[in-house]
Amino acid sequence: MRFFIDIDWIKPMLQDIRKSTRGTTAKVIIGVIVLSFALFGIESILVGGNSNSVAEVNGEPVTPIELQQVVDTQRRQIISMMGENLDPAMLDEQRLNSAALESIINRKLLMQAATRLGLTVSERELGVMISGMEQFQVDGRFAPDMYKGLLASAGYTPGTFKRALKDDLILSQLQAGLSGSDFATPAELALNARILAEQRDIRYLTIPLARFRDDAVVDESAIEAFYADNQSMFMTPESVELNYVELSLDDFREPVAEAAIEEEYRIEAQSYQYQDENRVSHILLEQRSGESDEALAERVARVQAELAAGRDFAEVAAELSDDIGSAGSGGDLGFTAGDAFPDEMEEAIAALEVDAVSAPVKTEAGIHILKVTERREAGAPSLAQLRPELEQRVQERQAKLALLSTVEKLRDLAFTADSLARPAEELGLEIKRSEPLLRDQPTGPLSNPQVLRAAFSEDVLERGHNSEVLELPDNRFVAVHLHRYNPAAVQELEAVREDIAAAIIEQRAREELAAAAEQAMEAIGSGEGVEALATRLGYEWQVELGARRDSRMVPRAVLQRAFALAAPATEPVVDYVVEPGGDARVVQLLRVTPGDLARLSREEQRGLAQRISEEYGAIVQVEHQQGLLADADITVF
Amino acid sequence: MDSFRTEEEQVEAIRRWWDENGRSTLVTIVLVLVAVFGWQGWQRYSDERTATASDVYQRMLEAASAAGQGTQATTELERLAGVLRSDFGGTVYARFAALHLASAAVAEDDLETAETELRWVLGKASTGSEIAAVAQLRLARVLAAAGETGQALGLLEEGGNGDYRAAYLLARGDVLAAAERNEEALEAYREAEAVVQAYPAQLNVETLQAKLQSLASPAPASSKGES
Repeated sequence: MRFFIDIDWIKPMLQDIRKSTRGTTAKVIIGVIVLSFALFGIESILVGGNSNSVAEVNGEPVTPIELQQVVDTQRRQIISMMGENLDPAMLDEQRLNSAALESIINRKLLMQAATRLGLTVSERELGVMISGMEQFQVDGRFAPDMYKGLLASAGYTPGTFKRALKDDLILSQLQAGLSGSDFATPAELALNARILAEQRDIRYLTIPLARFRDDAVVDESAIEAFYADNQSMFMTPESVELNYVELSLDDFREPVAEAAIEEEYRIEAQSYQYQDENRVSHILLEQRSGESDEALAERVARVQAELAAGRDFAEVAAELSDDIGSAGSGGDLGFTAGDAFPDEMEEAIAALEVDAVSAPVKTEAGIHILKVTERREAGAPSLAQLRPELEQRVQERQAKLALLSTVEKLRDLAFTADSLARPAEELGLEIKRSEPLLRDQPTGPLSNPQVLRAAFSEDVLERGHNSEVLELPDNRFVAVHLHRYNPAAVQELEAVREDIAAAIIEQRAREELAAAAEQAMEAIGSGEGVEALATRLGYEWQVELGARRDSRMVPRAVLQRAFALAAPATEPVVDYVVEPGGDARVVQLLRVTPGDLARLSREEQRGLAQRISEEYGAIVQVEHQQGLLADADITVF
Repeated sequence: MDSFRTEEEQVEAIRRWWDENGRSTLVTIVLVLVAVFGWQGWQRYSDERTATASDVYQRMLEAASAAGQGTQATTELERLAGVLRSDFGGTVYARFAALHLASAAVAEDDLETAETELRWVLGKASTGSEIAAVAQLRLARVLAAAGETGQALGLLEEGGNGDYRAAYLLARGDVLAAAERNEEALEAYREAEAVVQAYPAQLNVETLQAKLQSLASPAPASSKGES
């Protein structure tokens, strides 16, 4: 950490203080300074501007790293959720960014609220939680190696993981306290049972649309009239045909020199993942308060003597080590790959043979006597083994450099030239021609939102300039230039004649269907039974007694209509509804029975109580979040 | 500042200064130190208390999630919540515990206990805080269930313009519908739905929608419409 003390304002203040050492003011000032240092540390009075945050939530910065982490997580989730049906537009960086930022802001707001309320989670609880997680266990026991390995592969360190887990727990406490404690009162249960468990007896018959489609005949004049009246239905959308040049990583792949691969191997072999791991035990001797250096040295010597006499290291550790944490387990500290302990210790560990005991090593904690109990040799694979991977890596890196420098050249050329001819010639690129592209072109090499936006932009479309060089996924870059614009146009009658005929038939069929449904309603209203009518006209019919709002036996549309109808006074009520598919259902409502809590099973009662309390709880939760957002001071940079 | 001619004079000056100011300087230092360490000690103590309360609350939540399965868990929940209420009364966990106790009491039809707990929370939580708003909402619902419709409506009226408008309106609708004041209930439900719809978050409000549909003045039997 670095501190920036602004001498210019501190100096006059100190002079003032010196001038008036006798004044009480000065004493008060000194007191305040001492107090503020002691309480909040020196940072408190030094303004540390954080200029590279992407947003601020009530003064708390959102860092780019934080944002990127959430974006990455969301991207992974989308990819694993969608699999092959993935729509690349869903991975649009801007969209992901704003969604991620929103979720970070919401989380920060909740965390701030939780902190304000004084919610916390103890280190004890976190420890219990982590060691109880099955993912980190081997044979039912917590395995520290597994823990660190899994965290590392998910991009966490133990520190950041604990922090995140702590936040999660705090948020779940907040949610449990505020909305998880909701309930359903007896009055609410009775009311909701009356409505949600209401039963309706209904009959309904189905008039299929297909019946009226078949016998419709369309004459020419009707088609022409329809064509004239509905021109907007027969427009072909506008499109553009583009010239474009493209740069991609693959164009720049070159054979890799042997020396470069060897250099890469040398660096790779030193990397963390190939370091040996050592399991270490230690005996720690701390200088006790009042203990002289000689006395401490004597204790060290005693430990060394015991060990030299052949006593078991674990026994000696249990008896003499000042490290209470490890003394009980024979001094065991677990594995290190060279980075877990202070450098002095790591150096000694690296030099030790397995089962050998070290000379005393001094660190800030005290004096250690070390023993390596196990060594996992994890030497780097040979050059031959790693060659394909390294070769590809180097090749890609070199290709990327070449690509980017060419992209820079293309940028300059495309900006200054009035067509793509010169840039293409100078860089030796081929000018390609696109198919006609719509504003929302779904397929093809240029079906990218950025490209389409550029293609239809004022610059390209109206002024006829080259577009900027656009970066597409997978290391592709393109620049486009308008070849031809095809405006929206009305299609010829001949091209759409059949569509029109079909549309007219559909329209007439629907009218006839409605008329038939009206007739059926009338007949039923004047006393003909649903069954008799259905038999007379050849319709299918059904009866459902005691249908509920959530009944699955009755088609959705029928159910909704049946529950929207007023309860019949004496005579049954009739109505009809057209399904989204086009068929009509004539519905007769016979009887309404209000729900009764007492007649629900225990199970149903419990379910109902849960629905009510969850609904209240969910609303409270959303409104809490909403309220925090409304009161918040949020800046997005 | 003048430079002193001899060392003796310098010593003398320091001594004089000390005679005049020594006592007050010492007192200031001592007071500052006492304040600092006292404050830090208190901070540590109360952090430790909160952490312990948090542990107990975590156990209580475990009991709560098991409470559906048997009375033993409910008893455990009530015991732990009671500990939080009595031993950690100043922490937020005590207020949360009381909200859970109220919930457990309502589930056992013990509206009186629920009322007591909620009133206790209202007394502890600062007005305008989220906990106070939630406790007031629930108190109104409990009172309504106990037949105090007027009082309940009063409480809902009073708190209904804060952050929790939809929840308050839903409760208002429930209270009115239970009292068979259907027209007013319908109006409250409609408003509640409009508020919920305006939120960006997707909320599942099935019971609200069912109640709305049921109370909405039904379409005349002769109307024909398309869905």
